[in-house]
Amino acid sequence: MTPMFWQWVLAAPIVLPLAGGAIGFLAIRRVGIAQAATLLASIGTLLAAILLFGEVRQSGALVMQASRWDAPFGITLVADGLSALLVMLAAAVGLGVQLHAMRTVDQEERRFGFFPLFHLLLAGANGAFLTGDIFNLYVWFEVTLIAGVGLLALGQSKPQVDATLKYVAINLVGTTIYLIATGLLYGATGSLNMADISARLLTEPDSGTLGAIGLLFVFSLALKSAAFPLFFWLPAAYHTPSVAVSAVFAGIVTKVGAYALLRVVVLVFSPKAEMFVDVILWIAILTLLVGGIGALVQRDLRRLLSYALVAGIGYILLGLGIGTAESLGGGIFYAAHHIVLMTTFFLLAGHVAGVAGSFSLDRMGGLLDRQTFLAILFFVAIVALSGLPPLGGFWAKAWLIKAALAAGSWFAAGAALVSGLLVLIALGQAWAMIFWRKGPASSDTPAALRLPSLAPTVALLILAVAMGLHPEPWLDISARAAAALLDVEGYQATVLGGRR
Amino acid sequence: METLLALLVGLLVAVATFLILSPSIFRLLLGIGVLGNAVNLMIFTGGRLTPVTPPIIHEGETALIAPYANPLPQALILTAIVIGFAFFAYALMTAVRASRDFGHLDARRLDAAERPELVSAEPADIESFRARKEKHG
Amino acid sequence: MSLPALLTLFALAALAPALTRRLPNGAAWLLACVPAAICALFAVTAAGLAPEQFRIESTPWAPTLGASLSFRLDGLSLAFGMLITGIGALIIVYAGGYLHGDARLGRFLGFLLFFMAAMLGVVLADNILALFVFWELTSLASYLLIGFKNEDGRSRRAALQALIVTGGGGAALLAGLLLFAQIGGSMELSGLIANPVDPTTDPLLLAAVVLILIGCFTKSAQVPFHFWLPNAMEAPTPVSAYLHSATMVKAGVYLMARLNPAFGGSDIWTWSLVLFGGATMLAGAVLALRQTDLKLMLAYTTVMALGLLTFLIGIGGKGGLEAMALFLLAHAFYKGGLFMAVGAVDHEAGTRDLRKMGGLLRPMPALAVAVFVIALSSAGLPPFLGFLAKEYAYEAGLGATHLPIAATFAMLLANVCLVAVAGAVSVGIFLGPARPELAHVHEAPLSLRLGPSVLALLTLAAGLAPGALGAFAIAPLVSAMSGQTFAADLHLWAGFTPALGLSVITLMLGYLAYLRLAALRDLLARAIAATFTFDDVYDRMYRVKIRLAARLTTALQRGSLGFYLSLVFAALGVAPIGGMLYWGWPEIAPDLAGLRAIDVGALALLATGGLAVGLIQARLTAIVALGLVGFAVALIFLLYGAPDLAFTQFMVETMAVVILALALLRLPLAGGRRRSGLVALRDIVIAGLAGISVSTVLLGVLARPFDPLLSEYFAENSYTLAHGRNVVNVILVDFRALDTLGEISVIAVAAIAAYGMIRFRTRAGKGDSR
Repeated sequence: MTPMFWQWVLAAPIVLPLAGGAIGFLAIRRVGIAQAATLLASIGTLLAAILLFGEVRQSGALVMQASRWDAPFGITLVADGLSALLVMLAAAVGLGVQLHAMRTVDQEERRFGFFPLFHLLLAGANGAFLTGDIFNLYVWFEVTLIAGVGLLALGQSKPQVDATLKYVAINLVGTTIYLIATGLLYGATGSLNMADISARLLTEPDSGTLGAIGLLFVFSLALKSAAFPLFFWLPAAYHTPSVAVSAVFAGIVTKVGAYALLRVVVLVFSPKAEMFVDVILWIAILTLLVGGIGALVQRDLRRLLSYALVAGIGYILLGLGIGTAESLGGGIFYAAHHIVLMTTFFLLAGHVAGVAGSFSLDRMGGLLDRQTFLAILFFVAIVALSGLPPLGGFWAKAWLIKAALAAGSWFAAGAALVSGLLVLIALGQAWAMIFWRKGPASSDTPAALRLPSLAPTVALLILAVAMGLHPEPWLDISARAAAALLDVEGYQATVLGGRR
Repeated sequence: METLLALLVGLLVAVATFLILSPSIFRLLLGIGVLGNAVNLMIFTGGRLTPVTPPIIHEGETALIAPYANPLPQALILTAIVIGFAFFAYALMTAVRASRDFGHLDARRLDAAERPELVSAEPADIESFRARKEKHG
Repeated sequence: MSLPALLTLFALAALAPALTRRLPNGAAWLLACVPAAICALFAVTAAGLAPEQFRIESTPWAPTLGASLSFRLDGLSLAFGMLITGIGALIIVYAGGYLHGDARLGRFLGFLLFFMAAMLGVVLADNILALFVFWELTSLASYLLIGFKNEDGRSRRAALQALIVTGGGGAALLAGLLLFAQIGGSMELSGLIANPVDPTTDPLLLAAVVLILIGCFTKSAQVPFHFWLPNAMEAPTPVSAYLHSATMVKAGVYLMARLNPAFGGSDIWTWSLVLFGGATMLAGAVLALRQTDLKLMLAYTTVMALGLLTFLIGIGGKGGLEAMALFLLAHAFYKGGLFMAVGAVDHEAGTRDLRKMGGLLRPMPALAVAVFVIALSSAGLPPFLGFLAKEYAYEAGLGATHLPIAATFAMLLANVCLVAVAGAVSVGIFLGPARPELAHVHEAPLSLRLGPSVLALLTLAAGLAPGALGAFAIAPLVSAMSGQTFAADLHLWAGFTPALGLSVITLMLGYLAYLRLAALRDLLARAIAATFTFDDVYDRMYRVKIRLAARLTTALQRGSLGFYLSLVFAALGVAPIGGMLYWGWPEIAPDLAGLRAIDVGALALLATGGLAVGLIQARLTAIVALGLVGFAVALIFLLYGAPDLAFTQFMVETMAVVILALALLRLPLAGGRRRSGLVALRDIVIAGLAGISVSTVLLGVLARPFDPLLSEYFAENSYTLAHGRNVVNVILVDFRALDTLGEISVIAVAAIAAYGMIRFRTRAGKGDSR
C-alpha cells in the first residue's frame, strides 16, 4: 500500500461521513437517497477505521499533513493508538445506530435531516479524535455541537426544546472557554500544533499564566465530557430526543470531551501535566460519586442511564487523574468499552420503552415473562455497566483500582468501588421495576419486539460482552495506546519529523 | 494599546457573563453576542498588534515585508466569527421556538425537560419494602 | 480438568432451559449426572494426592492485568469441590421434583447450574482475579435465585438486599485482594500464602486483611452483616438448601481457611475471627429459637454454623482446624438434608409453620427416617458425624490459647440451641398426634427424598468410619488450612474426656430447651420487638441514602439554566485565578506607548457599547448597543491591519442585529423579570471574576515574548508556494483549509437545524409521555 493510500484511510473517517452528510443535505426531502448515502458512508467509515486501526497497531502512528503543509504550519491529522481505537469503535457504534435509526426514527424526523445531521456529528467527532491541532479541535467541537443540537431538537417536543436551549447555551459557553484557552495558548507559545506546543513548553518554567491556561483547558473539557462540577447539561438533555440520538450521544459525544482532555493534558501540556493531575483526580472522584448518587434517585430510565454515564466519565478521567501509565491504560479501556456499552444500553432502553409504552420506571413492570429475551439482554448490560465480572466494566474497574492502589491513591480506589456499587444498586432497582415486579394493570401489550429491529442492539451487546469475556486483546490495545500517548517525544518526532 | 485592550476584553467578558446569567433568554442571547466579540478581540490581541499594515503581499514582491499584521489570528478569527454567528442564529431560533411553545422566555421557568417528578426521594420499588415480613431477628 | 469442568457446567446452565422444555420430567435427573460425575472425578483426584500435596492448572486469561484461569487442587479445594458438585447433583434432582410442572423449571435449573459452576470456580481458583470473578458470579446467581418469585415484593427486597450486602463486601474484597497481591508480589494465592506474614507489621497489609475480612464476613453472613441470610429464605427451598446453607455462604469461610496459612496465628486474625465468629454463633443460635417458620429456624442455625466455622478457624491450631474441618462436613450434610426435608414437607403439607406441625410419621415414613438420622447428627449424638464434630470442637475450645473457658462456654450455648432445633424439626414434625388439617399429606416423591436420604447415609457412614474420613478428607483439609502436613487420628470413642462431659450437659440442656421452646420463643419475640433488628437498620439506611441522594441531586441538577451557567462562569473565573494564586501571579508589562487618538476613540466606543448593552433594559436600545460593540471591534480590526476581518465582522454584526430585532417582534415580552438584589450581586461577582481572570491571563500572555515562527512562514511562502497575495485568505483556503471545511459544515448544519427548529411540527401529545 502506498503512503498516499494510508493518507486517504486516515482522512476517510472525517471525509466519508461529511460526504454522506452533504449528499443527505442536498437530497434532504428525498429520504431514501439520504439514507442510502449515509448507510454507505457508515459502512465505508467502519472499513476505513478498521484498516486504520490495523495499520496503526502494526506500524505505529499515522500522520497526514492536510494540504501537504509540513507541521507545524498546516493542520496535521494524527492517528495514534488511542485515536485509532476511538475512531474504530465510534464507527462501529455509528453503523449500529444507523441501522437502528433506519428502523425506528420517525418519517418526519428523517425529512428534517436526521441522517445527514447524524453523519455530520460523526464527522465532527472523528475530526476531534484525529486532529493534531488545538484550533482545529475547536472547529470539530463546534461541528459536533451544532449537529448534536440539531439532532437533539429533532422532533421538537417541548422537553426537547427546553433541553436544546440549555444544551446549546451551556455547551456554546463551554466551547467558547476552550477557544479562549486556545487563543491564550497561541498567544503564549505562537503555535497551534499539539506536538509543537508540547515541544515548546519543555523549556518553560511552571508559571501562573501557563497554569491558568491549563486550568481553562481542563475545565472547559471537563464540561465537554460532563464531569463534575459541570456535568448537569447531560442529564438535562439525554432523556429527551429519539433513542438513536441519545445512544450516539452517550456512546460517542461524551468521549470527545474526555478524549480531548487526555490529549491536551498528556500531550499538549506534557511537560506540565503534573500541574493538573491532582485537579483532574478530584474532578474524577467527585464525578464518580455524583454520577452514582444521581443514578439512585432517577425515575426515568434514560435519565438513570445518563447519570450512570456521568459516573463512567469519572472512571475515564480517573485514569488520567491517578496519572500513571497503568491507570491511563485502565481509563482508555474503560472509554473503549463504554462507547460500545452505553450506546447499546440506550438502544436497549428504547426497546424497553417500546414495549412498556414509557421511559418512566413507575409505569413499567412485568416484562420478565413478556419479553424474556429483552430481559436477558438488559441483565447482561447491567452486569457490564455496574462493573461486575466477568464483563468489560469489571476489568476496567479492576485495572483502575489496581493502578490506584499501586499509586497510593486511596480515595480514587474507594470512589471507583463506591461508585460501581451505587450504579449497581440503581440498576438493580430499575431491574426490579421493569422486569421483576408485576406490570401495571393497564398494560395491554403494545407493539411486540421484532428481531430485525433488535439486531443492531444485539450485535453491539455481543461486542461489549466479547470485550469482557476475552479482554486480553483490548487490554493490550489500551495499554499500548496509553504507552504511545505517554511517549510524547515519539509523537513529536512522528508529527514534526516529516511524513512516514 | 495591548494592555488597554486586554482590560477591555475583561470588561466585555464580565458584561457578557452578567448578561448570560440573566433570567431573560433575550439578554442571554445578547450576552452570547458580546462574548463572541470579546473572544475574537482576545485572540487578536494575543497574536500581538501591528498598526495599519495588512498582511497582503504587494505586486512585484514574493513575501510580506515587515512590519505586517500577524495574519494567523486573523484567519482564526474569521473562522470563529462565522461559526459564532451560526450558533448565534441557531440559538436565537431555539429561543423563538421556546417562546412560541412555552409562552415566555424566563430561564427560571424553563423546566419542560427536567420535571421534578423525574427524581424521587423514595426508594424505587417501594412496594417491596412494604411487603416486608414481621421482624424475625 | 478444572477448566473443562467449569466450562461444562456453564454450558449446561445455558442448555438447561431448552433441555427442560424437551424433557420436562427427566431433565433434572439427566442434568444431575454431570455434577455427580465431576464429584466422582474430584474424589479420584483427592485420593491420588497426599495430604500436603497440591496441583496447579493454569490457562492465561488477561495477562495484562495478571489474571489467569489458574486453579489449585488441594485438600481444601477438592473437599469443597466435592461438596459443591455432590450436594449440587442432589439439589438438581430435588429441584426437578420441587418445581415439577412449573413453566420456569428450566430457567431455575439453569440458574442453579450457573451458580454451581461459579461456586466451583471460587474454591478452585488460584488467581485472585479469577477468584473474585467467580465470587461475584455467585452473588449474581444468588440475586437471581432469591428473586425467583419475582412478583413477590419480599423476594425482590431480599434479593436486592443480598446483592447490596455481598456486593459491598465484594468491593472491599477486591480492594483487599489487590492490595494483598501488590504487597505479596503475586497474583496467585499459592504464592501469597506460601509464607506466614504478620499483618501488624505493615499498615497496608493490615488494611488488606481488614478489607478481605469484610468481604468474607458479608458473604458468610457474620454479625453485623448476617441479616440478609434469613431474608434470602424467600427463595425456593432448593436455593436455600444449596446456596444459603451448604455452599455459597461458605465462600467466606472458604477464603478465610484458604488464607489461614498466611495470616493464621497473628493476633489480628485470631481476635477478629474469634470475636465476630463467636458473636455470630451466639446470635444465630439464640435467634433460631425464636422462629416459628421452620425454614427461618434452619436459616438462623446456618448463621450459627457459619459463626462457629469462623470461630474455629480463629482458634486455629491443629485442634481448631481439625474441628472446623469436621464441622464443615457435618454441617453441609445435615443442614442441606434438613432444608430439603423441610422443603419436602412444605411441598406436601403446604405449611412449614412449626406450630401447625405434628404426626407426619405415618404419611411420610421414609422421609421421617432420613430426617431423624440427620437431626441426631445435628444434635451431636453418636455415632453420627455431628457427634465427632462437636466433640472435637469442645476439645479445641478447651485447648484454645486465649480464653478457653469463654470459648467453650459460647460453643456450649450454641450447641444447646442446636439440640432444641433438631428436636423441633424431627420430633416436632413427625411425632405427636396427627393433625386433621394435615390429613391430605402423602409421602414425598423420590426426587424430594433422595437428597435427605443420601445425606443421612453419608452422615452415618462418616461417623462410623472416622479413620477413613480422617485420611480421605480431614487430613488434607487441615493440611491445606494450616500449611503443614497433618495426619488425622479420629475416634468415635475417645474415653471419658471433658468434651464428652460437655456433650452430656449439652444434650440435657438442649432437651430442656426443646421442652420449653414455646416459652423461650415468646420471651425472645418480646425482647426483639423491644429493640431494633439489623434488618430495620438496613431499611432505614436505605431510605436515608435515597433521601440524601435525592437532596444532593436536586441541589445540583436544579433544572435552572441560570444556575448551570453560573457554575460554568464561576469555573471560568475561579479556575485561572486559583491557578495564578497557586503558581504565582503573572508579571504584567503595561504598554501604553504609541497610543493614537483614534485608538482611544475606538476603545471608548467599545467600552461605551459594552457597558450600555449590559445596563440598558430597553430591548431595542440594547440591540443597538450590541451593534455598537461589534462595530467598535470591527474598527479595531481595521486599525490594526485586518481589513478583511473588519469587513466580515461588520457584515456579521449587522446581520446579527437585524435578525435579533426581527426575532424580537416574535418573542413575547413576558421574558424574565429582573433579578433580585442578592442574585444580581452574585452574578456581578461571578462576572467580575470571569472578567478579571481573562484579562489577567491575557496580560500575562502579552508580557511574554511572542514567537512569530508560523506567521513568518506564511509571510515567506504564501505567494511562492501557495500562489496567493492575501495571506489571510491563503491561510483560510490552503494552510488551514481543514478549519474552513469545518466552518462551512457548521454553517450548513446550523441552517438546516434552525430551519427544523422553526418549521418542525410536533405531533400532538408527542414528548409529553417521554
